[in-house]
Amino acid sequence: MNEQRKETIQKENRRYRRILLLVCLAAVVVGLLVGIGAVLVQMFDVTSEELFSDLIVLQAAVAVMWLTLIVTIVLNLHFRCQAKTLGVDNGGDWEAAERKLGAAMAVSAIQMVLVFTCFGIGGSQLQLLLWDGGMELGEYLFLLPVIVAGMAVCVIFSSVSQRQIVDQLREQNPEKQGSVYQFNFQKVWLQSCDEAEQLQIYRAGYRAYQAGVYTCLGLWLAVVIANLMGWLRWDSIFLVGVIWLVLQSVYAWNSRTGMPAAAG
Amino acid sequence: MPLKNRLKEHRARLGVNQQELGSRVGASRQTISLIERGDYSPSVTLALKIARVCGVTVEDIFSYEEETK
Repeated sequence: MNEQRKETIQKENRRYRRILLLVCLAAVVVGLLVGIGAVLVQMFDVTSEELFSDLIVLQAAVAVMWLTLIVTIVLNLHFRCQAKTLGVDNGGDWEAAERKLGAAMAVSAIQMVLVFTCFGIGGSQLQLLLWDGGMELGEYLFLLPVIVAGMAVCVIFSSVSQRQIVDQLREQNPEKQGSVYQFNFQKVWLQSCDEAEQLQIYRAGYRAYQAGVYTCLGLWLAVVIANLMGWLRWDSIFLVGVIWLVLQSVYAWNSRTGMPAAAG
Repeated sequence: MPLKNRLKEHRARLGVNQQELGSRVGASRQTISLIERGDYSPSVTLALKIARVCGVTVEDIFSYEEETK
């Protein structure tokens, strides 16, 4: 390994350790605040079963949000270190290194989705508790920034982590272009890929579309049954319909060349 | 698609690694590796570029053989 590359790796490791320390400190602080907040909330005399279950859902959502952050930090570190070791010089196992980076990127992407979902659930449960009288305004104003701070930390970590993965990929593939902070990053990255890489991306897109359609079908069935049983309202069916419609329309529009194979 | 190739031999003859060959033909190292392993069949354009860089014809590098049933 040449000296310049060694120096670059050391600089990147130092930068990553600083960011990691910052994120972990923030996680500890916010985690403590969430814990104190949860204890405070539990001290209320919540007699209603519905309010109690809202509380449980709120705490579960926040706990899952933090758990995904910790799991993502560990997995990302693991994959990125392995990738560095594998692709360390010209004779390195580049394919294996890129597979590790791909795994790290997938973990980050999944973490982002889970964080948004948990934040949405946690935030809405918090509002319900305030409106239904299960929580005082003071406690609400204390917990709300805690949850928002938690989401901010998770999103910042995910963004930084994805940028570092992309930087590492670009180091191994200098022809790749685009920055994760660009609005049209995916388009720029795709354009810098060659024919085989573009084919791989299109295949992945088609598989995601197939999985999306089957998931929508299953969800539609589930929400219709839940609606009939009185557990959910019509808006859940409407939401599933919107997602399904977007999937089908985008696919149909993009495959309108009339090729029978695209009708799947 | 049953497309065999001798790209690795020609690349060794040229004395370049996959990254360098890729940059000469406008493809990534990963794609060159996939082609050499037989996991990807290049387009006509890419096959012609590879043949030109190697200084041989396309048929010298790539060969198509029918699958025997």
